[in-house]
Amino acid sequence: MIEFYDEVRQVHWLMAFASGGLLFIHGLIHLSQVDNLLSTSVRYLRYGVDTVLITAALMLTNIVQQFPFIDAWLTVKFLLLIVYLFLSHIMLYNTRNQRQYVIVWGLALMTWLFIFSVAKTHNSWGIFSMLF
Amino acid sequence: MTNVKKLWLFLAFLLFVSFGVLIWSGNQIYQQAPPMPEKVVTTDGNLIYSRAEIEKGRQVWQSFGGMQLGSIWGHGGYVAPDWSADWMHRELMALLNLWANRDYGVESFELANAEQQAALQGRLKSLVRKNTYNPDTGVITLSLDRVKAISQVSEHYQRLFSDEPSTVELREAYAMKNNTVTDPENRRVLSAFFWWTAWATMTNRIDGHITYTNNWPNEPLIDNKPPASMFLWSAFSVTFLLAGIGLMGWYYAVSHGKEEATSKLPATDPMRDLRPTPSMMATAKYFWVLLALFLVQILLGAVTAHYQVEGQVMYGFELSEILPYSITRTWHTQLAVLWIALAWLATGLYIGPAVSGYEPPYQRFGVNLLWVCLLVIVVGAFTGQWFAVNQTLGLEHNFWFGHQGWEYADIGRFWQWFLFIGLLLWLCLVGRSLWPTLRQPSESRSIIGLLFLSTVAIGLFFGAALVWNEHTHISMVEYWRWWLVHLWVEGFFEVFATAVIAFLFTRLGLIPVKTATVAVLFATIIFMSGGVIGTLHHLYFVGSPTPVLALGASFSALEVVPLAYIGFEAYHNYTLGHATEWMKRYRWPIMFFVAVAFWNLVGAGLFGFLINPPLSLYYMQGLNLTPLHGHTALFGVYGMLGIGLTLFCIRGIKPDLIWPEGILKASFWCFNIGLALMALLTLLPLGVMQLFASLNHGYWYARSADFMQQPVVDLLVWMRVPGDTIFAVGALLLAWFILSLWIKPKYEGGQ
Repeated sequence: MIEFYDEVRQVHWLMAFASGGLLFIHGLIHLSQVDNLLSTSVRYLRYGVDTVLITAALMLTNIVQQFPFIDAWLTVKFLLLIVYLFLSHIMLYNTRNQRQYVIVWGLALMTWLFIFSVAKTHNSWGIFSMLF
Repeated sequence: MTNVKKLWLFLAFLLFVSFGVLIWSGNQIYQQAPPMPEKVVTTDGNLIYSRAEIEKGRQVWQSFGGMQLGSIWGHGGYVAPDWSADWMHRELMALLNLWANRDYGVESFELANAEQQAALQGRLKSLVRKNTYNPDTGVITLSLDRVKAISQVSEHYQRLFSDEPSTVELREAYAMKNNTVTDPENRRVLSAFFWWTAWATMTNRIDGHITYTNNWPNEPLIDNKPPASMFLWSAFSVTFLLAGIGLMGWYYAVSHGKEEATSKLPATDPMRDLRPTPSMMATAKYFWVLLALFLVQILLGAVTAHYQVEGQVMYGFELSEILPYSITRTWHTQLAVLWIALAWLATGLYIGPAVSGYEPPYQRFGVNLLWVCLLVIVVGAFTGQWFAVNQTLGLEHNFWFGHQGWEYADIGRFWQWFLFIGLLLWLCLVGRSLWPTLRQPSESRSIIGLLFLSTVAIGLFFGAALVWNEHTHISMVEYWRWWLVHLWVEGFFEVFATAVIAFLFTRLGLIPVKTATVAVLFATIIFMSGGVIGTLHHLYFVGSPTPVLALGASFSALEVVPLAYIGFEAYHNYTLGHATEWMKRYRWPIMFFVAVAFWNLVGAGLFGFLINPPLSLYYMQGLNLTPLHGHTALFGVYGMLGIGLTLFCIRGIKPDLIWPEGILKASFWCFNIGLALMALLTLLPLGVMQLFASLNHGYWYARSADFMQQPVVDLLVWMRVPGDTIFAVGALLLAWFILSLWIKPKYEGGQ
């Protein structure tokens, strides 16, 4: 599988950006209340993107032989991924008003950014590793 | 004589003739199966293997999972090689290398020139295809050169099944744990069994020109290629299929639109006011357990698929030390049958009192007792298999309490008996609750009778698994094993599915009983006319003679005929789902029935026929095109049906609830999309790649580590993740849906 390392890595990064980008767009569409159909389309697109993202992530762990619960930075990524999925779900189905929606949306975006920084630095502290 | 009576008589006649032919074929296989030698000796009289050693080798093979780890004669798992084909190729190459070195002074056969290679191949063919078995003495005599080759291959296998470092990479490629067989003597006799299965694939029948396995597998080194009969019967089978489709088309053209329509649809749901009896309510726990089994089955499927890329570990964990591939695949395949069967058992128990309105004494106790028995069987049988695969049970206990190694029939004999008794108890429970209705002359007696007969057949035909014993010839075990698997899946399950769906529609008042009865009887005749003798298409290469191959090819092609018209059924069911306002209550069970029809066409019909004619199967058996058919047909048809029936029964158990349909809708689409992705992104392309390899280089290569460890194969296996993930989400949503009906029910009218 090492032969496909570059391609898989590129797909993973591309999907990671798409996931965060679509989360941002999804929130904007919801808040502007422009088009329900558009919101639904983005939601399904996000499902597809996240599925490919997870597939690429699993492939990468296998290729580089680094795994959650063995390598600390991947453990943090894995746990934050669960938080991210949980927040996305709450945002879609369990917020009662705009204020709650914005808070959860913001938390989900911040989680995504932190996951990104952990992935970039290969350090459990992510962006905060610069402080140490 | 009424139409219904004529159909019943015709069905009885058809079954009598079909089973007669099937039994006659069994006798043919018994007479002409590859012989089990008393001794295998060298030309100078030295003993190589005894019958006892070959038979003990088979016990060893069964104990570590048998067909679940690699395959024999193409039947079994897909990650490890087909041991018969692998052994044959290794033995042939060892002989060629030996001769090339001795005769031409080159290090290996590949280094000899073309002329030398041709000469060696000619010698090889005449040596190994010649049958040296003496029927009077039961002795096979082998040349000294051949014994040297066998010895080399045997050593390789003994290293492979141990924990020797020289073969660790191969073990990883084959998803085998280290020390698959712990005892050295057991490893030695295991190789005796593998040798004998390979011998049958490369040795001509006495006074014949084809091998015991009809020249299977494809091996260019000795001209193992499909015999003429295989071309002939493959062509005929396609012709029969087309003729069958033509005849069915004619039948539909004549009968279309003549069905008696229900004059007036009920204004309200006739099953709405049905008050579930205590025994009907007791079936709820069957549905909870089947969901749990389904989720575990998916998890084990994911682990099994993952072993194909990581061999012995799971994302860094040395999982094969605890749950080796052999056991995860065993449980994955067993659980598929178990949870689907559980859905049907529960449906039978639910429908009995619902139909008759009669709750026999102690019925609830019986339902609860059966549930406990089923749990004990699952836990007990699986525990025994785990000990067996870890080689701690001992060969002497393996057959009764461990792992029989026969795919889909691999629980220990004790547990098979226990399950059989459980199925008889189930029959009694369903039968006694239906009895008042069956005794009373009424219009619906025929359809209820057919429903009951299919349940009787499902119960009793499990008895086929009890026919063979520990040392029954492998050809005969295969014969009886397919009685169980094929006649269940492509016979009685089909009848049960058709009858139960039609029956439910009659209870809902959507179709007249007479129309449903005639349609179900007709469908049963069509399914059984191909289905019973079609069993033989699994037996082309297990030592069957040519007439068995011909019958299997011809009749199994007819199995596809009704599936070609299944669109009618799907559309009919879909239309009934919208027939009245109150049918919205059943929207999702009916959508699952529509999915049953869709996957029956795609999974059973298209992907099934792809591997069905003898010539196709000759090259495709045991490649990834087999699980393509297996997954799409087993889950697509029977899994979907099991879920549809579960939902139908739960609707009755909890009639006053508002269903959170969004969850169910998402679950339904996740199942269908996930299954389609699994088929199209991995199993189909990988199977086609293997097919090319099998056609171009021989079957052994399509199953070899060299082929299966290519990066592109790894990539295709990884492509299962999106489909499998979506599928698993569907299952979790279904579990959540059913759980939510109990933990946070929402009642109609806001109660």
